[in-house]
Amino acid sequence: MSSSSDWEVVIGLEVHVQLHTRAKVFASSSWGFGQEPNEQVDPVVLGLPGTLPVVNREAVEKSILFGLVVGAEIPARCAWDRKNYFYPDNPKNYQLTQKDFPVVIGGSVEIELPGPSRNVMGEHKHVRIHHAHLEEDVGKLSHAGSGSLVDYNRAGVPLLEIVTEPDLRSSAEAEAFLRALVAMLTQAGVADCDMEKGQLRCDCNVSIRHPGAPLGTRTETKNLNSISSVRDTVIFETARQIRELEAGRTITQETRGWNADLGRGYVLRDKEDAHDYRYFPDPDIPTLELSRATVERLAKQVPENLFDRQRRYMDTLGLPFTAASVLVANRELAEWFELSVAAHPANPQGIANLVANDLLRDLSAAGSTTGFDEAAPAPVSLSSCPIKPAQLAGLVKLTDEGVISKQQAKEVFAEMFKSGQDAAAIVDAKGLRQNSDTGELEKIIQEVIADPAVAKSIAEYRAGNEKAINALKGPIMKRTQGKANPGLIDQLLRKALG
Amino acid sequence: MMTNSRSEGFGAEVKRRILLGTFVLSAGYADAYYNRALRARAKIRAEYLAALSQVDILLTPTVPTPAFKVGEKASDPLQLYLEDIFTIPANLAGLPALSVPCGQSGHLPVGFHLVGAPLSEAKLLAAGRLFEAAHGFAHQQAAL
Repeated sequence: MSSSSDWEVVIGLEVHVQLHTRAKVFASSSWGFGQEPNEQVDPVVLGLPGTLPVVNREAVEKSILFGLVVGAEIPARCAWDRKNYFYPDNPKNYQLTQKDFPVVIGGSVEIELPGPSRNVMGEHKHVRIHHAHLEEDVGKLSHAGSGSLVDYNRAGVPLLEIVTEPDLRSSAEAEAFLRALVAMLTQAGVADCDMEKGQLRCDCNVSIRHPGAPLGTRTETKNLNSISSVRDTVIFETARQIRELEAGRTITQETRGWNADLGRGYVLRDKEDAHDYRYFPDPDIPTLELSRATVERLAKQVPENLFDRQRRYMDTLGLPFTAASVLVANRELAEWFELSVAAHPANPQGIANLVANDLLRDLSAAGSTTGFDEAAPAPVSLSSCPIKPAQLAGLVKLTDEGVISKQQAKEVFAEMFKSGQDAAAIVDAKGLRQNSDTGELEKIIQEVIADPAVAKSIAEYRAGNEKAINALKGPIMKRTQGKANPGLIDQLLRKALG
Repeated sequence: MMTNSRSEGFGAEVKRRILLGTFVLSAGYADAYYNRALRARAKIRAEYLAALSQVDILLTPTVPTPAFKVGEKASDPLQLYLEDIFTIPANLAGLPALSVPCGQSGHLPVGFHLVGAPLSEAKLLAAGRLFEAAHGFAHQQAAL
């Protein structure tokens, strides 16, 4: 008999993503967050008699783009089916979805697991995508007092359901998958993935088994709306299933809900109560040919994969993992960084440090955190960044040339962020230019070491106390009003002391 | 309200078709009925197309018998469905078809039915017009 410690959890996710489009998926009505209830509806959304749905090209193209991002097969054609059910969140009594002929087949998402420490890169693996299908979102019900209120603003919003293979083996892997997926979707412009606005929702399938054994009976926890809910659901469901099996009971195939406030799951319905959706091909929407010309055009819009970019930053530019991972998490930031490097290719690390630390900190000071991923850095936009990439390159160049010290660079950076001026202009205006004139500096050094007040320090240094030299640097720096290059002072002072 | 309007407002045939449609799409039956019917439809279309590659137009009566009395077959839905035996295949096969009055059986009017290849509407209409021009009863009314 196996011991209780060698249970393996098997996780598959169904991720529902609202696509970034102007109009709804089968109707011309617009959609967006924060409108008055039922303002964003039209006769097609409401399924009124005599209306016909028309497929939104933008929604199909965003779906194809997702497929290309994950290296999926884009089939020659896709088609829609009616999923019939009676619930007031859908005015038509059926949801338009794709059962047999989805728009995206296969593909995979590369994920990065947490490393042993913050600055060490973790293991990478690939999670296979089974398929992704394009369907319509449904309306929202709010239950108040004796009645229920229906808002159809969300009904008909394009929803891409991304279904993974059961490739995930831990809550950490599920978290890493969702982070990578969100990054890929947002960086390609497929979706905004703002979980606070309900733009990304997740169904989580969990089963356990002993490694190598056939898959166990799974449960599906529906409608999770944050990465932490997915993580907590996996942890909760794994523990529950182990407890059940070790007590000699069996797992029931059931649909479950998650109460984030209580931190526990609950049964929604078991298999006997499963819906019979009576799918059939929708007669209103013809089968859609996905032309190869369109696929080729969209392929050109696929951005560099974020982990490919991370590898390039580490291997080619020599960035440490921490800086590289911060930069690649935001495509706009990464592209900004690359423009800056192009203006001063000699020191990508220096530029990366300023971008990943100072620039990001100042930019996100005014930003807000995302709802979906509490652990992610605040999303920043570089469109309103007062510093241009070439200007930052200029600052790093001045530092590299010894014109200003690293400490002074921080001060200049703060001023650049405030005023948008070039680094050189600020350095001149503030009189920060370091004194690298050896003649003048040698004169000052001679005056300082001639002062009897420092004779003791000189004697100690000459006697082998290395630290004693520092006592001389302060007076020298003071007499240059802090403008001298510290490296140069050190070099000349040692020379003067013989 | 929904129950009442549907029980009173829908006739027997409509209810029969709703129930039948729900049944054949149910889990476990969809394959046996619905998907099998789809395959049958594909076969019907293929046979029509094969026939229409040999000839321009297929000609049949529009219906198997002259008009029957109101209510005469109401108790036998199968007999009623058989009245459509010549017209329904064109719908299933997705082909254009044209019904042309062509004479009388006793004092009741009868017609024939032309089926053509996809997008052959012009040819069917031209054939119908030729027939009407050659015969005198295009504008006659049946003596009831």
